[in-house]
Amino acid sequence: MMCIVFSFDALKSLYFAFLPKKLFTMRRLALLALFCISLINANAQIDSTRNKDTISVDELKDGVLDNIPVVSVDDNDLGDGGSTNTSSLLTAGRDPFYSAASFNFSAVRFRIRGYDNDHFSTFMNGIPMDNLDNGFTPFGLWGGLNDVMRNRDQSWGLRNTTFTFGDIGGNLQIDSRASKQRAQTSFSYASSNRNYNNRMMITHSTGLSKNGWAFSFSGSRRWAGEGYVPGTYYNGWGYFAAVDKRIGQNHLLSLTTFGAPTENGRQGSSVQEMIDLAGTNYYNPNWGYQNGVKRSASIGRSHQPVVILTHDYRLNNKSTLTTAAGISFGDRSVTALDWYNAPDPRPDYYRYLPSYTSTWASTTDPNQGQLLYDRMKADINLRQINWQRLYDVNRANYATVANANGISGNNVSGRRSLYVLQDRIVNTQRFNFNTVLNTQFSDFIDFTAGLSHQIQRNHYYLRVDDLLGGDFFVNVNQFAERDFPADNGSNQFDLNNPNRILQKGDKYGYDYNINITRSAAWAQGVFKFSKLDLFLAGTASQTAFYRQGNTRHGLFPDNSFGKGTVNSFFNYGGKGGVTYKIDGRNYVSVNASYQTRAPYFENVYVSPRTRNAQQDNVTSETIQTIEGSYVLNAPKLKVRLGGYYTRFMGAMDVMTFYHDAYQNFVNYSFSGIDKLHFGGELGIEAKLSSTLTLNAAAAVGRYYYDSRQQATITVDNSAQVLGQQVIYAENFRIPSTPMEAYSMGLSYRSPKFWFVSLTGNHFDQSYLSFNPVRRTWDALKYLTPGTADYNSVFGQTKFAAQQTLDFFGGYSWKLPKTYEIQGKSTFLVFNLGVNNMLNNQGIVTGGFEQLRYDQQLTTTDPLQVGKFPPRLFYAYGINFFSSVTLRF
Amino acid sequence: MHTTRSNQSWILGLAVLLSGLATACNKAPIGPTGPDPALLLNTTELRSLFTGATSTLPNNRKITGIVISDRSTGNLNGQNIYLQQGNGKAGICVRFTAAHAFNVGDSIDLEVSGQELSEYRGLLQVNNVPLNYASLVASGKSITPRVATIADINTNYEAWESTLVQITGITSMTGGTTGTWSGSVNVNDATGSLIVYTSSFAGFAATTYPVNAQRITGYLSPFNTTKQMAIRSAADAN
Repeated sequence: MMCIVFSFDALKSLYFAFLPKKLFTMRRLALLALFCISLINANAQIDSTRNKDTISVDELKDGVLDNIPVVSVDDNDLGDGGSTNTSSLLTAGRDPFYSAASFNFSAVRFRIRGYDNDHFSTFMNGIPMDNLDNGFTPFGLWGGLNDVMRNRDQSWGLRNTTFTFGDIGGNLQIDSRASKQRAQTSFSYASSNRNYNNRMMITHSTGLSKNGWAFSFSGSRRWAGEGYVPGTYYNGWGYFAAVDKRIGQNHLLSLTTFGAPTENGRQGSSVQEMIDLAGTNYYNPNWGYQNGVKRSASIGRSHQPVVILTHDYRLNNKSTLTTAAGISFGDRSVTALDWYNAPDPRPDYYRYLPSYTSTWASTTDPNQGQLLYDRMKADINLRQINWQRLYDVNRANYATVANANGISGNNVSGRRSLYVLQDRIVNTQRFNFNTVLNTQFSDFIDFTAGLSHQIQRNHYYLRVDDLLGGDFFVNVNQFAERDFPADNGSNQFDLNNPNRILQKGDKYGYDYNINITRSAAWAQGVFKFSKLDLFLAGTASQTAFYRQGNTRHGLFPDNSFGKGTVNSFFNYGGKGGVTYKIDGRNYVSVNASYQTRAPYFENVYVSPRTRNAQQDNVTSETIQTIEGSYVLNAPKLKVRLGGYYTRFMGAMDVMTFYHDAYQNFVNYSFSGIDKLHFGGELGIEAKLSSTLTLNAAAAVGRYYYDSRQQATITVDNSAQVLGQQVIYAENFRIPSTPMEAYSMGLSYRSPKFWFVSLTGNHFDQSYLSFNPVRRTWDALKYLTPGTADYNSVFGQTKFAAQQTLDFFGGYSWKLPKTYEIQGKSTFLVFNLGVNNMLNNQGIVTGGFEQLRYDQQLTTTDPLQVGKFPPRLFYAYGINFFSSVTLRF
Repeated sequence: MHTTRSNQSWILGLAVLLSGLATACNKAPIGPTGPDPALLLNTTELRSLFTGATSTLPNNRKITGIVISDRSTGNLNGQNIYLQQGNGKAGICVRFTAAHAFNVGDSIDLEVSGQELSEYRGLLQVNNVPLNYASLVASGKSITPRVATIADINTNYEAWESTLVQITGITSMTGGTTGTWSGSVNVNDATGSLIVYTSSFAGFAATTYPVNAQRITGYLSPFNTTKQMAIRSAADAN
């Protein structure tokens, strides 16, 4: 781990030794050198930019949040190709609670109010950026471009905004247009020991010139040969270009384009047994040695450039019309091992664990299990992917494929790969249009209205990434071959192109599109009186989506190829709020909302990889929420005390997992999912003196599943419904976020433009994601409620309470006038953040019970809860993020 | 320092208050106390479970339907009933273990958990269902028959089996036992021909069928490979 030590006097001497005062060019070189090695400090100078310290803090927090851990939750987790590593809470505004919640709590994946990410929306330059397929904001699209993403308008909860009706969690507008960027040039270098170790960023913005032009450019590079977690790496670039043209007094035309091509070796979750064998909570099963070099089987790649055209039209002194259109396109993908009629190559597959041999196998052998334990403990190669074996198997498998490529009599012989590296690709094309009118009807009434139309097409398919030493792979379904050996058609992934011989780069397996459109209109009135502010807003939308199969699946020839059922939903929502201004410092607010929301396609289709089949009775979800707060905004004391009560009703979900007993993927389709979230929030910022500030925040809530859900069980090899079950999920906790989080910190902000802060955090009430199969009558009928056995199956695992301590410091140094560049002041800004200073490596930030569960079939059957133990992931131990920025 | 202490106390107090309120709101998960209540099985789904051989239906399942057959006229075995889930939806024949008392238009729930799904002479049925598996939900309901040509019926016969259909363009009716409903009456329209079979035990079996009838309404019930319709009473043809 890199260690940076600041010694003021020594560094000052070093600085002046490097800087002969009369050699201007030498000074510049020295300046650059100083910047690059980030080892400098000196006497503070007068800084005319009064808010420089604030910017410095925000920069630091951006940098830290931009570099938080990415974990592969499961093998099917595509996320955004490793790009959703930034929380949706990137900025908190000046609210003392949200400032803490968005940053201090991020290490444990705290979610505000326990809401999922799809309840927070993000706009950029006037267009909605959230994915239509899952509602998430793809922050990775602009990863590493922090410099040009700092103009933000954030509103939390149900508050009214000027750009959208909004989601219930919060709404963020990023204004990255060229004319909105500060006219300056900056170079920065950051060093860290998290996902990436190095980041370089360069940004230049001209500001708006007299003839109405503004330009802004930014580029970045983030990289790590190996990140915090073994076997991970990072290689990311970022580019940004924007131009604005003011036309007359009333028009501003803006064009912005950016992208962030990124590749990273991903961390995977694992079971505690392997974690213990490895002796580290950061055990990563995704890699193995190949010729002495670490190679990852889970590589995320993402590049989806975005282009946004925005038109600001000032209709008159009281009205503006902002219209924007944007497109985004490109791939995100994750690689994974795939295999055909061969043993599972994953090192933490349950049958390879010592506990399986000792305890869970049909014929147990504790001695053999102990031997296996000892060997796996001693030899890292037994805990990681054995690449060499995969190559050996492929090279030894000489085979002939009859009727290859669907041509009768065409026999192809060669080394047929039994193992390949597959690339799970999502190609996305998005078009967004949005227009918003803001006007003042009078001094007391503001009116806002908007229209939007969004189109998104996702193309999902598999591609052969590496044949791993073989000559070819064949596009056939091994599961169907096993179940229907006499049927030559059922084993085909694509009956239209049977027995296709695959080379590297060829598509195979599933191949389908999801087409989604959404049109929405909304309007809002804000009524301002001397003691009271009111707002009312309403929205209506139409969402439609359908699956389009590009292959005719051998098992579902009539229900896989072509266009499936078009699902169409009309949704509406309303919200309103009132703020009572007790005086100029004390405010009380109450807001409420009722809305319906169309389901996301991934919760509707039973098995989109294979067919068009979908859940019965696909309906919209209903969301009801009310929130209230008291705000004190005094010069020396800021307080926000709030509460909320939110009910989600009628949601759906689909879970898929591989089941050995069926030797296939089993799909659980859930309906009737209700959730209840309620709690309180407290944020305090107290100025103890002109330089010392006390910050405190508390989030205390309870988030429950609030209904018994209905599950329909299907398997990928058949259209038949295997069964239907009631899931006894009522009062189970919403997992993977602490429901209680507290922080308290002291900040010292020197008039000499440096600051330090120390914050302690405490987290509690975080739970493991549970397996619904274990919460059924069938799983529990032979157990007595209240007994230890019953609780071991039915109970939900609670994580231990945890504490962290974080340090942040920074210094903004205005260089002497002799170092001014083009007459502009030059600053060097230093930041250092050290998180989890107590090096607490036992913080489980999330995990999930494996979905496979072998339930008792008779009263005498043994309990097998431990056979498929939960997969976990841990927060990083002590970690740092430091940066130095040269700005002029 | 007074301010600091007072702030700290206040903060601590509020945090403790929030935490206490949350703890007071802790709720315990509620597990099952017995087998799952029977889940509604769509009749189309029920029919799709038949794979060609006699099988047992899964546990915790029920179907719902409106009676479209009429036990009172005796044109079917008293243990049998035809249920259609709704207008335009699928139907099924149910054979109870004893004679039932459900009438046309009764809406009933029928537990089918673990019951036999089989074919009897080409007719798909849930067989040997105990009478107490059925419960009356409401009476006086009706199913609007699907209006179709004979060609349509023949094309969709399997999907429409055990549902109510109506033929409106009858061109002729022939057969039967000496001009009565008893036995097989051939009903013809411009598109084809369909047998309307009436049991000799039916109360209207000896009634002369109206040779000039324009329309006929009945439920589809095959006999082996022969596609047939059954009517509830003589009034079904007019």
